[in-house]
Amino acid sequence: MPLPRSLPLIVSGLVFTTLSIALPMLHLRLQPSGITLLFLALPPAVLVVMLLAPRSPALSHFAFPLAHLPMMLAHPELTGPRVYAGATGLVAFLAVVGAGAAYLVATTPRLTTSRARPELLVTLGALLALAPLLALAGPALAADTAPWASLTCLALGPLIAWWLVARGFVQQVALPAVDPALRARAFYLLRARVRPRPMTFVFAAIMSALALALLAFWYLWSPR
Amino acid sequence: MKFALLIVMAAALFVAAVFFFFRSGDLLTQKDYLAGALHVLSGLALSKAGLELARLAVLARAPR
Repeated sequence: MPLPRSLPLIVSGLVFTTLSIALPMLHLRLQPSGITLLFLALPPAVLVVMLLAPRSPALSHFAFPLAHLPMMLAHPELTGPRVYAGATGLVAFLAVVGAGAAYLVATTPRLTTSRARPELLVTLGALLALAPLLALAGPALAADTAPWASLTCLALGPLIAWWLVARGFVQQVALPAVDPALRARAFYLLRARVRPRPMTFVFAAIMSALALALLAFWYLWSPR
Repeated sequence: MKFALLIVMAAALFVAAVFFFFRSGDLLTQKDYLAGALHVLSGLALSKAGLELARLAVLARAPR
């Protein structure tokens, strides 16, 4: 890969490794020695292999993220509450998530020569991912919150962000916006979907009748 | 005009969805799990509606 094109990949990968491993090590004053030095060198080594080898999703989406695991398993405190507790911990966590998102954007191939602005779409995607994360993490990180309730909130946030951005925004909005072929396909799917079919009407009628019946049941016989 | 209207409506739906997610976080931390789950579902439905409108906006815009 030519260097100017691979620059975002190098920078985002190194930032992700720094934020997820190197800075927590400095924060906890960990001294790497022996095998942990090898573990620490693993992500940059995979990054170098990625730069030399042809573009491969197995390397970029599997090997590089997994290269961080040995170090995290050798020192579990790197991902523990001593690093990610409180408001500063939340900021650190969001920085790691942001670096991960930037890395994913850098590894995603450009599909088109369209003049649509991918920077705007990436910013919108990041905002859409951060909004539910923050909305759910805010109450969860407040004081006097039950641990299981906090964990539920913290687990829901990334799930919703993934569904909203990876499954929804990227597939349905961003890609059709930048790729004329995908735009044409989205048009075709939309026209196919709005074409009336008898079963659609039957299903809609059944669901509407069910909803109305539930509503009527609730108002007439609800124990209030 | 159509593009701007659809984008504004989609943004409004996303803001409403985020409000529902925030309320659900509040309810979940108070251990009101049923209400929290219902708010999450409402937020997801609003997000889905927003996504549909954003997609329509993208498709309604003339290709450049």
